[in-house]
Amino acid sequence: MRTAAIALALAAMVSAVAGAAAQEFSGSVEARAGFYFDDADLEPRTQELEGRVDGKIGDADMPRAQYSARLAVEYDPASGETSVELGEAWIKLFEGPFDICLGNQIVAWSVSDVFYPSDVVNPWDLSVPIDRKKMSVPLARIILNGDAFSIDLVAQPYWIAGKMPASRWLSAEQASLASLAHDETLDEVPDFSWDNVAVGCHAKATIDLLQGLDLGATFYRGRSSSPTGVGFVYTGPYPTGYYYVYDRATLFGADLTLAPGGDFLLKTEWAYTTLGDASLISPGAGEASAQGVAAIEYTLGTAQIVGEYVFDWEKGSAEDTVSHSVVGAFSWESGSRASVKVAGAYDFADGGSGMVSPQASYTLADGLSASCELFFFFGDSETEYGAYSDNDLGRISLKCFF
Amino acid sequence: MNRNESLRKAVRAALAATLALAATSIGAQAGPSADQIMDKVFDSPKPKGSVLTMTMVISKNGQKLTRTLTTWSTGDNAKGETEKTLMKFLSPADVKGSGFLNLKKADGGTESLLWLPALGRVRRLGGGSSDQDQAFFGSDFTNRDINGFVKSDFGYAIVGSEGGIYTIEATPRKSIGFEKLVYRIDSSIWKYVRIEYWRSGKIAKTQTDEYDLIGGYYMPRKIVMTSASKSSTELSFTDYKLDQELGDQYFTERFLKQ
Repeated sequence: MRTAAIALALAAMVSAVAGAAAQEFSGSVEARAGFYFDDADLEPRTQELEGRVDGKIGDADMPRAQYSARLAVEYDPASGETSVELGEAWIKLFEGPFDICLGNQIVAWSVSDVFYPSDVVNPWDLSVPIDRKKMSVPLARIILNGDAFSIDLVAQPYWIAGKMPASRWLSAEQASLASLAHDETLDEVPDFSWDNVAVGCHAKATIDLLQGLDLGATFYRGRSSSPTGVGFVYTGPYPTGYYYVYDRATLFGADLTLAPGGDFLLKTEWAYTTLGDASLISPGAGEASAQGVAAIEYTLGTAQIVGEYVFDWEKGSAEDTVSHSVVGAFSWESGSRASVKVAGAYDFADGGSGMVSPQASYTLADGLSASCELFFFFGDSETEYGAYSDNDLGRISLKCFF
Repeated sequence: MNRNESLRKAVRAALAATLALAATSIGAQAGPSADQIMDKVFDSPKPKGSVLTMTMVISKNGQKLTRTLTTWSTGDNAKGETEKTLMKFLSPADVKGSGFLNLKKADGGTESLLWLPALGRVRRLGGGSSDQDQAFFGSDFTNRDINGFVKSDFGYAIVGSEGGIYTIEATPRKSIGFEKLVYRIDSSIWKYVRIEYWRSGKIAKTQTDEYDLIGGYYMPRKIVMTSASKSSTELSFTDYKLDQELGDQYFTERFLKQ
């Protein structure tokens, strides 16, 4: 209902200004297929049609306003279900040094390429966790643009939950709940109130040092979009069901990107988050956490190598949890059509676990591309990536842009 | 065509021929040094600010990919200014809206930002030689070819002169991925009309340039880069707007994302 209201409001805005705007329609059609190695059969996964309209009002180079809206229709042959989803749909006004943007938006504050400690505004669609898609949410956003700095302020009036992993992608901890029923009616969902309006700010300064230095700071206060606790329903001595709790979250973050010269790029990003009483089972657990990324990019001709160290700390009721992992990616572009990438991640906890993913894409013609990717997981079933060791999979897709 | 115009054209042609002849004979005799010739090339008049449309056709094995961009540029390294270039893709649909901002300082330092709408964020690129050696959006041009060189990047020597065309060998003072570049410079306009990029004793790729006189400046009409691997990229330039007052607001992240 809320989504429909936003769509209607935006459609009205777009209609009102369309007469004065340079408007363009574009979109894409994508067919995907995939298979899990343990299933053997190649199964058509989804077909998606995405349409989008973009426009500018006023001068084409320096417009007074800009708008964009996307609508995606997805068909899943496995379930026979069709879903319609409003993606980003916003209008942005340029007023002096201010950009004022209203509507469904995705905010990208993180500078890191694999883990995103500062990207806290949008909920994550973790249906297939390896895809980690951001969900667009209704926001009011004001950006102040200075000569060498910007300040980005957002306010999110409505809380929206992220999407939990599909059954075969549940972690060991999440899977342990599978024997119980999820009573969604008991989920402690934040209602609409001024107190639950989320606010955030990202400030960035660009400094003329070496080949360029960006410094950023992030603040966010809102509700976690992923469940931070689980409550249990008792109708007898044993729990018969469970429900989710979404706590208030406050995040402080900092990031840095430096091009020191040579062929390197250095990035680091850290975030410290505090929650309300995150765990109903272990009071105090998870009340504070910190994530950090330190990354180095090295470019060699048409190849690029990225290495990231990821630090994760969480306060425990008795003992804190600390984990360290590394991520690496090698990508290479061959001419104008083909590109190859191999990405891998390794988590050092519990004897180690990891993931390797080779990927390739090819541009068949202008606006028409094909890609394929494989994912392999290894490690004990109780570990970060080993939990997915039955989920080795391959995917192919054909995408046409118009 | 009236008589005055015919006369002006004849005088202009004679003047050009005289200059070309003079250049040839200068080259054959004492003549200008290689550095003096390259000074004329690098110091040739440039518009203060320009906006143009560039069409890029990448050809390989008989198949073609076409990309269209709008480019804004200002500044002149030769005057000690930072050269600023911003490019936005108009087509094809899969890269439309992507943009690239490059700031090339007079001391040779380069700052580059890339806007990829699908990621929703601006990525800073390293300013090192390898980043500059990357193919420019999959074409036969590297980022460095597009951004251009500064004169001090090379040492120069004249290796030939014929018919008003000087042949200058340029040896890089720092690694650029090639052992030398061989320029052919048309002394009637002081622009290079051909560049050979040499690697391991062979020509790795060849660039040819054609110019039009627009608003008092010789501006490229067409540049073709042909690689030894038989692929080629043709850049065609249209919709020139020269001597535009392009303020700093055109060369910002904000404009890159609009």
